Amino acid sequence: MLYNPDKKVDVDFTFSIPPKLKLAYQAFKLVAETSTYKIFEAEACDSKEKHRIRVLDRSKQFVKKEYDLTATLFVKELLYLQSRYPGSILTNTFEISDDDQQIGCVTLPYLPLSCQLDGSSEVFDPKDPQLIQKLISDALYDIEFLWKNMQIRKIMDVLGPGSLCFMKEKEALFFG
Amino acid sequence: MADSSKLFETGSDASLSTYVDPTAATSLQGEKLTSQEIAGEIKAVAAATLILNKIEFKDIEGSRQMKDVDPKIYDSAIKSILQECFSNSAKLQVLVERMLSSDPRSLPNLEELRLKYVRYQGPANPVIEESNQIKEPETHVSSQPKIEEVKQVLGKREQDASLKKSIVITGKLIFMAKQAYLPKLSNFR
Repeated sequence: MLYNPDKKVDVDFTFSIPPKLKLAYQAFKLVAETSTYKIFEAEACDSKEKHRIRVLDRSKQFVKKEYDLTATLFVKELLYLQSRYPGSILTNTFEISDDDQQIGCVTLPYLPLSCQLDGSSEVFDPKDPQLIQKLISDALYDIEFLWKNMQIRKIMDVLGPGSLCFMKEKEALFFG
Repeated sequence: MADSSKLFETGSDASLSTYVDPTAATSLQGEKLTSQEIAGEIKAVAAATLILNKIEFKDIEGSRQMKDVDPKIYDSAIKSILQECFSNSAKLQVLVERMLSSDPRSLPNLEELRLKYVRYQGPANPVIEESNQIKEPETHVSSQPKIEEVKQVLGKREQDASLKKSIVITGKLIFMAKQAYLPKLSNFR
């Protein structure tokens, strides 16, 4: 996951955000992107809480080429995250619009550990034994899931430690 | 889960080697994995904990692979790094050391790697929980097999039966005592 902490201004990526989400949220900032989706930080218009808006990026080559697969994986990731850490996904915000052109959902705030590694921000205390033990436990839980259910191997080699994300509110670590 | 699409993306050598065709591979779904099967992943997770502490793990790992370097030097280097990184927890030092071990027999099993410690969070609504306890005093979570539950039920039935029996016996004794005392009581009239 690429993390862009310097993108402090609203960017014109909002075209990919489904309309209801665009109405409910303001001050969109692109904070990270993967090979298939973008992650925005945004503020809820009513509660003023800051959340993450995860949006499938139709401009990506891989998404254009393998739309069904990438859209399926996008939803699968959300389902997995919600089942693993209930409340991490704001289920009611899930939205598909414009003939499947836009798919998005709101999650609680989280940060990838890549920004800890590149020194751009302190995500968590790497000396805290409880958090480190949580990292080991959660990462291996995800790895086990991917091994057993999706027959994927060499996960850490491909994703790397920077792909692990920390959701402070749930004290949760997951690959993102 | 993961940026799972990254794991599926075609065109990447790494991704191609990660995906095992489910029709070709033996499905592990429902089966328990062993730490030996995912030894590489365990080691990589352990390495990640050091990398987060700004330790250049690749250099240390490189020294281990050198033929003329005594493995004991590698082991002591790892120990001192772990002491430095996790000085607050000797238990964690041992765990990570075992995760990094090249001897598969030293690897911790997956159960040991699962977090047992949970930060205490008080009940979300203590009043409701309390009232639930009052309403359902016998509600309990049990991981015992059903046979055990049946045994418990049978045991409870037996207890109930013996209680009834003792009540009956006590009742009989009272009746007998009353009978024995009745003539005496009639003397008072």
